[in-house]
Amino acid sequence: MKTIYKIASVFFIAASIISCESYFDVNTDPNNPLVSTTTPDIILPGAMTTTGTTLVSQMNRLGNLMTGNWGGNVINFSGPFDSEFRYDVTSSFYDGVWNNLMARTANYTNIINYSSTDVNYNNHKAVSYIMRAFYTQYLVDLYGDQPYSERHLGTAGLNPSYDNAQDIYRALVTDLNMAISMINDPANADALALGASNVMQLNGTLGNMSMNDWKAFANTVKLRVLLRQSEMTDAATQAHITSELNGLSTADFLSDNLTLNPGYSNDSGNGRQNPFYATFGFETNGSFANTNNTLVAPTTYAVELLDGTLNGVNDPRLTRLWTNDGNPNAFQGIAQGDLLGNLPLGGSTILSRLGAGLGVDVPSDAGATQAAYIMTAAESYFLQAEAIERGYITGSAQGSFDNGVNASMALLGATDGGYLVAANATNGIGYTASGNKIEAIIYQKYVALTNINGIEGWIEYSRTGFPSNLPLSLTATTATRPVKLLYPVSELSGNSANVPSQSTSDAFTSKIFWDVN
Amino acid sequence: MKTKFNGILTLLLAFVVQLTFAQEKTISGTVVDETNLPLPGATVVIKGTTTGAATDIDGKYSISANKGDVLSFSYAGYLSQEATIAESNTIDIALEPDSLEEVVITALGIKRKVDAVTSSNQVVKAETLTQANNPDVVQGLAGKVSGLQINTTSTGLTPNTDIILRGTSSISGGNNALIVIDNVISTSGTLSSLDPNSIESVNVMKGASGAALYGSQGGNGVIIVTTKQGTKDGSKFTIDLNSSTTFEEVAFLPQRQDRFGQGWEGELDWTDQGAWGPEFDGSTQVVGMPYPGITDWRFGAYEHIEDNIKPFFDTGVTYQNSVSLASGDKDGYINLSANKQDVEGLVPGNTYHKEFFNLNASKKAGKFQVGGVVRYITDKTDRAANGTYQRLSQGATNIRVQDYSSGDNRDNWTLYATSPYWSLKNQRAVTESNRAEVQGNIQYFLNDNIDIVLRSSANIYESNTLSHNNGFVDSEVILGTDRTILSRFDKSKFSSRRLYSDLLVNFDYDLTDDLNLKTTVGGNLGEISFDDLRLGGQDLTIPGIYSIDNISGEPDNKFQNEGLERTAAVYAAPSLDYKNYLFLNLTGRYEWTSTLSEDNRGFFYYSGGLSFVPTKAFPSIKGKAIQKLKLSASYTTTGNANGVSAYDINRRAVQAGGFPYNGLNSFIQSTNATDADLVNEFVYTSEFNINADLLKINNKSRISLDFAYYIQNNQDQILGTSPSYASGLTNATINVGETETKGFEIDLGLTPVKTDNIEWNLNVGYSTAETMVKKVTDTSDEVLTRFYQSGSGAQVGTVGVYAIEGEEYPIIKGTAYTRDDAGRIVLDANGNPIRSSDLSIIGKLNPDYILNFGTNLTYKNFKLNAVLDYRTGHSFFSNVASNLNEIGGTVESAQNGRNSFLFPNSTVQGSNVTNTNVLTGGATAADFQSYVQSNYGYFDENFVLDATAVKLRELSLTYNVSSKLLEKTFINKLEVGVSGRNLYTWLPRENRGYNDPELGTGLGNYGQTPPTRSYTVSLNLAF
Repeated sequence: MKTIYKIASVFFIAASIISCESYFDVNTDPNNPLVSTTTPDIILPGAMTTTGTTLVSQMNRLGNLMTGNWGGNVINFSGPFDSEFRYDVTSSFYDGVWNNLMARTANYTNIINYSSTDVNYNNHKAVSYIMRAFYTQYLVDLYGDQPYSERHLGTAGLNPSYDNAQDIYRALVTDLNMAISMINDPANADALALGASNVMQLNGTLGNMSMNDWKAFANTVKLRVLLRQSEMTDAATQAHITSELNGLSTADFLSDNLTLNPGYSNDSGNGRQNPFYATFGFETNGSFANTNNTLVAPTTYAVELLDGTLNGVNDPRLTRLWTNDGNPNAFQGIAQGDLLGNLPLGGSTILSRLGAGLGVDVPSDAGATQAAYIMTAAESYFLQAEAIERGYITGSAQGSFDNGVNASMALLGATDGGYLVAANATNGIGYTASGNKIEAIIYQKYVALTNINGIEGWIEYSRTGFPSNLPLSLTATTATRPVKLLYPVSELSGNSANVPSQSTSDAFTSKIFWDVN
Repeated sequence: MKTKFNGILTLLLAFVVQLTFAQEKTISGTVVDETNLPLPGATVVIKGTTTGAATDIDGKYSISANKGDVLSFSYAGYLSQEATIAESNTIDIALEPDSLEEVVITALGIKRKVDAVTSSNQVVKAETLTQANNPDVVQGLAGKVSGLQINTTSTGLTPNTDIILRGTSSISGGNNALIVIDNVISTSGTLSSLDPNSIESVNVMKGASGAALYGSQGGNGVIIVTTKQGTKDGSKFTIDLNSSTTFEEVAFLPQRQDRFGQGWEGELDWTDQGAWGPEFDGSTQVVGMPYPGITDWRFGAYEHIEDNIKPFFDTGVTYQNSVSLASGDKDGYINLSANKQDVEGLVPGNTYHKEFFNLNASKKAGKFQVGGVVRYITDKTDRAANGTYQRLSQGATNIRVQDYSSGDNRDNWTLYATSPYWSLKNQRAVTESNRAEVQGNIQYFLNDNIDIVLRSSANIYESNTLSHNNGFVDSEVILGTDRTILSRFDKSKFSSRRLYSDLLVNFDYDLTDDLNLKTTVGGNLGEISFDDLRLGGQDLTIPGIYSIDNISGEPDNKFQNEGLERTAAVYAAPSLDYKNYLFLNLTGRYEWTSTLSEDNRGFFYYSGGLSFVPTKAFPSIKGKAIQKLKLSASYTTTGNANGVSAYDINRRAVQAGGFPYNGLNSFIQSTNATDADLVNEFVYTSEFNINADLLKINNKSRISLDFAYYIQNNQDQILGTSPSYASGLTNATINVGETETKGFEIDLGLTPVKTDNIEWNLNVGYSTAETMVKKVTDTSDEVLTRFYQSGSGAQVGTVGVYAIEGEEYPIIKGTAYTRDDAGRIVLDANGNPIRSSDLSIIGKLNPDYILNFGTNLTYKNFKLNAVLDYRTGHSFFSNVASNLNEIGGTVESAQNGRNSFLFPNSTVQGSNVTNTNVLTGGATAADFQSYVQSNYGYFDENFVLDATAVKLRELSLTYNVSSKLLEKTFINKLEVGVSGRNLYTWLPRENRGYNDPELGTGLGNYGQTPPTRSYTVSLNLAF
């Protein structure tokens, strides 16, 4: 029996070692910080860059293709942009837009939900409300109904249900109002300044953005959200727009280009170049980035729109948006889906490429380190012009229109050279002479967004139908271009119980709620 | 208790002494085993009395008895024999092993009589394992155990294998069986790297009750490997030499269309690799890029070359040499073995070298037995970057790939890809790894009833990988395409340490004459730690120097990850043996793991099993027809938390991409998360087995029949799922679902012929397992578990492997044609089948059943072995077929001469009639190409193929030089053999050699090489 006791005591000792909590208390990750202890000022820069990268590369590319701006370089490639030109919208077509924006905007949600009794993070929270609304609008504009009220819940909500697109739009306005009131609230005077954690700036000048500038941006996003619904004629919507815009007449809107630059560099080691340059420009050693640089050419339409062929006015932005190939047609484009043999000289010509105004025509440190455009001043001015024109706010539509064109010229480094005067005297492209002022505003916005924020151009085309002479791709098998994207594969496989069933034709026919024409 | 039993023993001994009387003469002799080695401690008893004696260390005995008395000789594990005393005073006896009393090594190294095992297991002997000289022990098991699937999931120098028992019952993916080597928990990687010749036996414990003692990791069955433990001849060392050479070659390549060559949209294009050109006409055409000068065009006949990429591959050669020295006696053994393996791979320049060293020894002295194992494995892999085979496959079949072999990146058949020959020289990875295993054990025999074992082990592993890309500067930039490649290098160091310690106390009591109780009570502590460091950068200043100081910018690959996991357990395993024919086994284990939260870290599970041997209980039924019959049943629960690793339950933030920028750092939430409240999985298994040996002829049972039926229920499985990205996550590890697996296995062994010269054995195994998903989660009735991933982890394409409530698991879901109620495929107005976002079930991965055939035929000194298996009823998605479709390489892509055609059994949307006039495929070559790539290629259904396969896994012939010839030499054994592995694979017609369906776990992709077959010649010498 003694032995039994001995053995038992051995086990007792063993068990007491085991039950000693410190033995098992080894499960705190030494490699990574925890989300719960990562403060908003640490999260914000990463939240801004990850979402911004998607906007300036993937979404920009998609938009420029859908708006007929980009043709394919058939000289160097067999079937460039083949699926885009066939409007081959499937559930895996640009699904990175949903995947990245949905997952990465969760960082803004984490900042909004961060609770601290020691530090007032309301500046960070206000900015996060604005940025989240900014990107969520794109998600709604591209996909329609989607998870909103149940999103960003992590493991607690892996299969969020869908919300109505219009309801989400209403919620965005609420969030923007919340941000504005947080900025206005004197109680937040003690809030931690954004400081270096704000990697966004005005016109690329680091650290120049005040909370009032953020408020101006919030107003501009709010304006965009509301104007998007402006062609809906139902009384409730119009009442909503009117009441929300009431009082914005004297408000500040974005008057500079809102840019993102966490400190882009051209050092070898990659991953730190401006994402537009990295995608459509060059490697750090100056060789072409992937194949994207040489893949892009202007469409014939994009060239003819600016070189006077279509409207008789030479637009100086042509030489900044596209490279001059020299011979024989200084600026050479190609229709989407066209074949090599249809180019002048039986294909032995050279196509233009992305131009100097974008900083990606030649390898340069300046191009690699330039700030990325999140929202341009031109877009803000054209939004104001439209809001005034539609009577939602007061002011001079012509003034905002002219400001918009000038801002676009400035951004691209183009010299006006009498363009604005000539354009204003031309129906369809200038405010003064146009019968349909909205058409002129959207036309100028379309040009201003070219190569910079293509996705906004596509969405605005879906809303307004301008520019009205936009040609279809030659390889299109449908009578119209798509009006949205289909729910991505990740949703079909990860949220099958909630995601609505779609077929290819939905991308052409089932429009986003604000698209009433 | 000790006093009581000691008392009984003393009494018994006294009784024996008391009863020695009236001797007439002294009989003496030697008791030996079947190999003529003395059996010390064998019992000699005069039948009908209690008079007895025991043999001494040399197997000698002496006993006083009367003439006419019958002496009964017995020894544990051997058949008793009787001898009647006649005139002679010497009786020597050779005992034969009692196969019925054969012991197997089960969980925790506990030896059990075969009869006492209450759940299904199967032992693979050394000779079966090594019969075809497979250098990889894991692959050597393939086809030899029913219910065991060895899936080689990759090809190349060091193939990966999945070891799956009884099918994929767990949707959490952790279906691999636990590997235990010499009583120590190990890894399949270690088992793969063991010298096959060092292995004594492999016990495959299919049933869960043995595994119940191994805790967490044993939930999917256990494979217990025992290495050789010396010989019984202590007077000298036995030296065993094995030498073999294996040749490996490409077994088959995908069948390609033979009508169209290099080009695009029906036009010749010497820059593009796809086979979208015009029809072959035999004319002379430019093929590929000019080389060496920019005007040095290469011309070739525009015609199909069968298997045009085959010349790229070499014949692989593997040299394997091993030597082992062994010695031992009843108190101990020592075994030293060393092995060297050198491989030259199929991909030119790829090499693998391995050296293996193993020493194990054990010695019993007094009340102690002390033993240990030291094992050291070092290897080096030098290989070209992955993707070579895939890149080769992307070219049209009129390309003679060997014409572009200069190794210059400009020397290629296409402008748009890196030259595979350049890649061979310039994009390489070298991995060196070292693995050391040390195990020590001390056993103390407290008394006849109790012994204590302390067993500790350490497994230390480190590996270093240096991969590099040399740079290439494109001086030509033809058509504006810059083929410049930036140089870069990456280095990684990984080290891990696993520690295990078991303290066991074994009790063995005869409670009554008929009832024996054995109990093991023990505890276990385990710790796994690892450290992973990676560093790399690009644009090397001085070519060929792969050092972090030599990159021109900042490192772009920085990674640091360390981990520590701890486990502990206490357990007990009582078992009762009633009259040697009725057995009851019980186990219980309480386990803790550091990887779960404090509230969830401990869990308990248990098992119970009964075994009954009618042939022993009722000896009357035992006869020629029925030699042995055993029935057993068990119920087991096991818990595990394998799906969760150290720190997983932490909600982690990760450095945002690109950061730090200029002194500014940022962390954002990781898109991978594990539910912090995760609990362990439970697996409940009920099992019923019948084992029978039938038809005894000439002392050998000719038919053996083993049957096992089981129902397994898995609950709260820990699974990495792909959720809605709107959750903020791209991967979430959560407890999901419940599955139920039902299956059975039948093994039939036959010995149709057994004479002095010829013995023919045949075995057939049939196994089937079906897993049904009963529940997924509260919010979802299906979950994606496996898919093709892009670099960022996002799903590529729409095909994936799912668990779907009410369906079998695993199931393939992807894009299927839209069909109307009449089953017609719905086309749009242009004749293209309509693409819908809905995903459909398009296949299942689990075979309906697997048939194994094994046979060996011995004729005099020749032995012929064959192993073949057949799997059917399942399917797989072939990414190879999908890829070849994209480049116009499949037979289907050339159908109808690439002209438009009437889609069979189709209907135009809205017409409600069978389509007779709308053609599919368009009017031009460009249209047809677009149709094949974007429409035909969009439907995953088109690339889901029948996974049925018949594989002749092993065929071997050995010749054993007869011992008579060797009598006068120092050589004891000389055996030569030839063998082949995977000599023949039969695939159904729709799988045109795209993939070996076994590769790639249901989503068949390109491997490092195409599937291979191999031939071996071998020599085995012992002296």
